[in-house]
Order: sequence, then structure tokens, then C-alpha cells
Amino acid sequence: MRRSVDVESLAAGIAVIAVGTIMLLDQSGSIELTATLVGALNAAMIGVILLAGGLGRDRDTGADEEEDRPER
Amino acid sequence: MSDQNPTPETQPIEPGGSEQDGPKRLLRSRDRMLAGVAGGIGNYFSIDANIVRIAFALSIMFGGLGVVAYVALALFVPEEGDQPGEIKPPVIQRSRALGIAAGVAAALFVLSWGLADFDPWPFDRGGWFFGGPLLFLLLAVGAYLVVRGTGRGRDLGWLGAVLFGLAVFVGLGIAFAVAFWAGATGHGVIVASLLIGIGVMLVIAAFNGGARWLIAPALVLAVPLAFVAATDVSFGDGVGERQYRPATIDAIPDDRTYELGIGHLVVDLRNIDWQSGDVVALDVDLGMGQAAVAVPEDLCVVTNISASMGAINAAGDHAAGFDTSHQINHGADATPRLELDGEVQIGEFRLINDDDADIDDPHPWDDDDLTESDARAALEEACVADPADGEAEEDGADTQRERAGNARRDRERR
Repeated sequence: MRRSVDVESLAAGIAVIAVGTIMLLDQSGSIELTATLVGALNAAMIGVILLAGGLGRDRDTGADEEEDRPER
Repeated sequence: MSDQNPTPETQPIEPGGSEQDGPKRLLRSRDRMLAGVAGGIGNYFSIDANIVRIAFALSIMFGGLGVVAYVALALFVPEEGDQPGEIKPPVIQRSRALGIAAGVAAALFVLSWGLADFDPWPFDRGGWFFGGPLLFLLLAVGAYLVVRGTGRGRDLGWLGAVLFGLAVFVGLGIAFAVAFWAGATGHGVIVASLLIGIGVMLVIAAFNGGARWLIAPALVLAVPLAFVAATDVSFGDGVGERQYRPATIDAIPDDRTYELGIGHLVVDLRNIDWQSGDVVALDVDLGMGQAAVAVPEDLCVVTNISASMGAINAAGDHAAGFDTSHQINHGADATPRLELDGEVQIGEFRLINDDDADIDDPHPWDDDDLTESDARAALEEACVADPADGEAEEDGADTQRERAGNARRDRERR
């Protein structure tokens, strides 16, 4: 049996790691972020999480409907 | 915390006391948005419950007494039972724990009255309610709706859900403040590392059933850190109120810089006896808050002011939004002259060029004696060069510029 992956957690984790890494580079002085870039970065992170949540929910709903469908 | 009902939850209708036969009783309705108060009042007066809901919402504009009445009715008015004719006793009577919780909530409500000075215009004319109480109630309603959305509200009861949700909000709020503080005090690397750690935990957890609850703390760390990264706010330059009123040019700091991390920074240069030939290059840097610089009306000011997020009100000129800037009189060589390099990350930078204006007046240009156009004209007029002064000032100006440039380079190097 294939182990299922929680898409929302996975996408959120990757997005958070990406943002965290960029923030780390900024805070350590390696790069200099502008307000516009930071805003876009955060919006993208939240967008990815919401998108993954929505897609995951659709998949969960689809799986439930599949289970409810009578076998032929 | 299922402490519901050590006493009987429902009681039979007394003979002749049914909704149909007896006198009407005010009961909280099962057709509800929050606690069923509006539905109950609607039933009682035979009007649409939505009208009552709108009335409660409008009552917020009149001091908020309607909200207090709503909470009181929710606590003290009995509720319709599951079966027709059944009546549940008021929430306050159902258990001692709920009574205590209601008492604590009421105490918090009253305390929040005096704890927060929350007077956003134009609501400061709305009455006492537009202070801590409104903030507290909005939080409480939000907490209830969030907890109810997770499905836990049914187990906790509505009051428990509110308190639980408030506790979660307070916890996240503290984490938010700590992350902001850490970022603004030069510990952003730690917060960023924590963020990466949470991300790794989310990825690992994704293959083991998921841990979506970690998303909230991740956002709570990411947002304030991003805010700090975007604005370069620093508590290191100090927090609070700073007022500088030098009486001579020599009293201005050697590096020609006034700076503050967060707070209110006032630099009043109107006490200086400005002489022909005087040229001062001055830096005024503020992280978050309000910076106000006041100069004599006849002083030539060359401005180079920027605000990452906020507003610039400079001698009648207004600019607001993101990455705004104000530059005027560039290239002017009249003396005496102030070359003002102002920077505010979040907040307002204000330049007042009037001998009598109150530097703390939020709208100095509303006065008939100092209109915006007068202020703007005065600033431009002051920089119309007097040919006789042209040569005398050159040496002094170069020296001032050099010192200011050196000071800036030193700060950037640090």
C-alpha cells in the first residue's frame, strides 16, 4: 500500500524553507532585500500554501467520493 | 473541558407556559449566527432576526452598548431546547466553571477598557467602546469563529471556544512580537533558522500524516521577520521619545546625525541663529514612528527625504505610500542652508518651516497663518540665492559636506 503524502504540509514546508533561506541570507548580510521583493516573497509563500491546501482538499474529497462509489 | 450540565440541562414547560399557549418568553433561538440572541429577539417580537442583527451591528457606532447587551443576553437568557417545548437554562446557570469563565471574561473586558489606548480616527468620537473593549470583542468573536470552524467548538461550548481561541491568539501574538523584536535587535538569523527548521519539520511530517498546525507558527515567524527585512527597522538605535533643540550649529552632533529606532524624533533647529554662509548637512534617520524637523521660515532647505512605508509631509508637500521620496531645492546655493537627508522606514517624516508652528501639531498647515501653499512658497523663496553671499560660503559648505560624507561612510561600514 502506497503511503499518502500530505500535499499541504509538503508544499508549505518547501515554501517556508525557501523563504527562511532567503531571510537568513538577508539577515546575515549576504543579500539585501527590498520591501517590494519581501512583499512578493511572502505573498508567494502564502499563495503556495493556500493553493496546496485547496488542491489537497479537492483530492481528499475526490478520494472520499471514490470510496463511496459502489463497486461494479 | 466538558463541564456542561451538572444540573438538568432542560426543564419541562410549566402547564400553560408553552410558546403557543402561555405568555411569550424571550429565549435564545436555535437559528443562530453566534449565540442565538438576535434570533430569539426576532422570534419574541415577530420580526426578521436579520433586522435585529443589523441593529446590534449599528449599535457599535453608538458606544457599543448593544454588544454589551448581546453578551449579557447570551449569558442570562434561557435557550430553546432540542425538542419542541423544552427550555435550556441560561448558560450562566449550567455550571460553576462556566460562571467563573464568564466572570473572568467580564473582568478582562472591563480591564481592557483602560489597558489599551486605541483611538483610530475617526472612531475616537464613537465613545468609550472604541478602545480596548472593541479590540477584545473582535478578538473574542474571531477566536470563537476560528475554533468553531475547526470543529472543537462543539466540545468546548461557545464560551470555552472563545477562551481557548483567545489563548491561541495571545500565544501567536506573543510569538509574533518576539520574532519582530528578535529581528529588530539583530537576531534575525536565529528567527530565520527557526523558520527553516519548521519548514524541514513540515516536509518530514508530510510523509507521516502531515502537521498542518505548524503552518501558523511558521507564518507568525515569517511575517514579522519579512517586515524587519523589508524596512530595516532596528531597535539598536533606541526606542522612545527624542527631542533635540540645539541652540547653535556647534551643538549639533559632530557626525551631523540624529537617529532613532522606534518612536518620536523631534529636531527643532529654530533656536539656532543662522548666519549667512552657514551650511549644515544633516541626517535624520528613523526606523519606525514619526520624525519631525522644524526650521526657520527664511532658512533655505534642500531636502532628500525618503520613506519606505508611510508618509512625508514636508512644508506643505504630501506623499504617502511605499518607497516615497521628497526632493526640493536641489542645486540651490543660497545661505544659510540646511541640506537635509531624512529617512524613515515606517511612519511619517515631517518638515515644518515656520517660526511659530507647534512641532507637535499634527496638522500645522491647517492654520490660516500657515497654509500649505504658503509653506511651499516660503521654502522655495528661501533658497533664492543672494549673489553677495555666493563666494563666502563655498569653503564652509565643502567642509560640511565632507564631514557628513565621512560620517555616513562610517555608519555604513559599521
